[in-house]
Amino acid sequence: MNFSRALNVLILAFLGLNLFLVYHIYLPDLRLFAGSVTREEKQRLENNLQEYNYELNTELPSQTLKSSFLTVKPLHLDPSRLKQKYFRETEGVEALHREEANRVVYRCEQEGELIIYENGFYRFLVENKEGKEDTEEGSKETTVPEEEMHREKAREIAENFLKERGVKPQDAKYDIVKEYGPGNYGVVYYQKMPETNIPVYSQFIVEIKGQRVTKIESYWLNKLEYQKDREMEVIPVTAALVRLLEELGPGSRTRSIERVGLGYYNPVYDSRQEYRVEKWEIPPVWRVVMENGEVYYLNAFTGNLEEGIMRKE
Amino acid sequence: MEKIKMEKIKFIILFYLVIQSMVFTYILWFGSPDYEEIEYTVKEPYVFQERLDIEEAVTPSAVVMPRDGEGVYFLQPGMPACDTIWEKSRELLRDSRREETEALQAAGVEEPEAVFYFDPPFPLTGGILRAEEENIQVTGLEIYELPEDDGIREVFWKVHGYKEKGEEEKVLAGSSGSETWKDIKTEMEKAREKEARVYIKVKEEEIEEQLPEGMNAALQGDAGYIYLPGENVELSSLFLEKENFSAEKLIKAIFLDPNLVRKIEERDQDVIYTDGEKFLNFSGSSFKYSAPPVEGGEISPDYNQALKKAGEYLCHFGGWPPALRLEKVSYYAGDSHFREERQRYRARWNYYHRGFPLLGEGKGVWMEFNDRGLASYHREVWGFSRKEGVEKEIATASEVMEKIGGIYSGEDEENKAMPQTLKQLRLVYFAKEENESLAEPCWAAVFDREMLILQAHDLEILYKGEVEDEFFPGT
Repeated sequence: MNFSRALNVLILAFLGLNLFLVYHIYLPDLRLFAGSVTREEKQRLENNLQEYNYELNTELPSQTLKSSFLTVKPLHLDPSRLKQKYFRETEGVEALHREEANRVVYRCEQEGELIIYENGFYRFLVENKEGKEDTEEGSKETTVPEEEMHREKAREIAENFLKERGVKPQDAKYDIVKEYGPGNYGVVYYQKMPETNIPVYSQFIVEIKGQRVTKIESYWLNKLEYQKDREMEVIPVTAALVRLLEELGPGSRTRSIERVGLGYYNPVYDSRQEYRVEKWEIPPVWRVVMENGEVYYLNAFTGNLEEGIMRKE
Repeated sequence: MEKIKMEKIKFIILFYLVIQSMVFTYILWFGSPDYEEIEYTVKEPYVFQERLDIEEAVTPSAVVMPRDGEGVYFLQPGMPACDTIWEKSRELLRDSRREETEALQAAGVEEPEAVFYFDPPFPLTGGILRAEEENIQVTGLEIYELPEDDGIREVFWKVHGYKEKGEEEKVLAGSSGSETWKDIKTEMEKAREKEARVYIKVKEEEIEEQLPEGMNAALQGDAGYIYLPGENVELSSLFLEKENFSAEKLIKAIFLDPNLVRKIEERDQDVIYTDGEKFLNFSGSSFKYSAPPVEGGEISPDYNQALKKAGEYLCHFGGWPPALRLEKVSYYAGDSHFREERQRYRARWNYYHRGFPLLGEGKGVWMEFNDRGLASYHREVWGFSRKEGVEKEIATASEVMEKIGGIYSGEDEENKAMPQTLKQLRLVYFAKEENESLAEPCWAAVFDREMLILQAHDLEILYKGEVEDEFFPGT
């Protein structure tokens, strides 16, 4: 190796070393990867998981992110269009107006009942024709044994139903299948925030019982607006999990955390329709899914558990 | 030549990179000595008003002065004279020294110059009555002027009240603030001529005689009597205006970090602000606040501490306008099993105009708090704008009693469940829900089970219903 080549190699080596040093000195200040989860925080979480009898079955995001509030409005769908979609034959559909509850009810003996509330929430109760006949005839169960019902099958049934009726919102994405009881599942969909693809956990649930859809509940959001000017750093995921464990307390059996992610949770949901909410802001949340489908939402700015926040005196 | 020149340049670059790497290594190893020390700035919450001393929190519910002839001169909250006389009297009381209880008898003075009634009790602390370090909750204060030749003392204070443990306490104190006492006397004289109304003392038995059969009177405070107007009173309706409130300032006062507050707009124009733990619900310029995590707290009974906290919360979260009077401070021992029934203090304030409180659905201020802080807070403060119509003579107390008899003795099915006991009868202003900016003069009769509000001129029933919080409807 001649002298010139040796110089080249040394220049490249020192250039690389300097870049590495600059990365470690200045990048935290540039805040591109600011506040990434420290070793101490990870250690604290591990201790807490052990102490409270939990195990972590997922990778955690290692960097702290910036986020902001999301302004949302309920999506008001045209009742007559919904009626057309949900009922295969609209001729026999009877419309009942219940003024006291600010809702419109469409009922069809053969197909079921569609209740559309003024605030955008709607519920479709599927007529259990087969079940009724079974009961009337006193025959044995015609459905497949409930034990055989799997989550994947439940999802398939839900997807087929939604496809057939064309009622699945365009921005709906499959989320999870919750198990309510033997053979009873809820197939849950979330809403995808335009452009950023950040999940918004609102409500679109298809309930399956005995291999058939029994109920659909929807409270979908409209006009999602990200408040760029209020962008703030969210708390590390480890801090959120420690907070959750403290809230839940020690378990008698080992429970596992299956999924953790950042998203938005819309807690303004109330099936009693007491709240006439028109427009509201939702904070980013750390969403934690347990092995049994239980879901917890922790405010990603404060670490507080987000529950039904609406209260009216 | 070219090659040598190129190698020289490379050598200079390498030398520079080596030096730079040494500097970076030093910075990374030892940290940067040039960084300025980080200054942590804790945002102070916005404060509407500095809190008042607890002795300023309680004002007299009435000031009674003797009168030649029948009745007494009567001053009530919301009358400027009532506030002035009390303010100066408090100053005089602050410099008082304890005296032997026989001293007043020895001085041969029998009739007080004025009597101050307190509901809620006035907190007489060591700081006010200089010679004593004990706390007395004062329900009545009598002020006596001594004969001029006494030389040392000019006035005696007879203090009626109880200590924190509930023992009844009577204390005698003497003051010698000549200038202050002269000022008080001048103000009392002015009040007699202008603002004071002539009232008469009416005993329970006299009231019972006029009540329908089966109804008795047990007047509030176990005094056995109430003061009622002794002369014709002329009153008109009032136009009110709501206090002008800045939501932005209140958010800064209530929430630790306003950046974390989210806004929820309702279809009926109500706006809720919340950080997930505290909820501030604005409806027009009134608001309701609640903090569910605070509701689970506890608190020990300590009247003075409760007054201090109540005053602090009101001052910090909206301010304490002078016409807003603290009406009640109650302690609830609660039930530890139910969060909503936990130990707490409840305080309420009412707006007063020239002696009479303003009542109505949602009117006034009330709050609940415990050791964790403010659990709930409602504020809807209206103030006097202008008179509506002419002042007209109102119905007398006897006419009111007759009307009550008619209402409850009637054969009407609705009135079969007659209340048993009359607890209070007083003049108030009342704003109906359908026209909340107009307050009408009314007679308010408070019974054990319900409350009756009668328009003071024609005795029309404006409200007849449950007493949810003593004699304040709609709370």
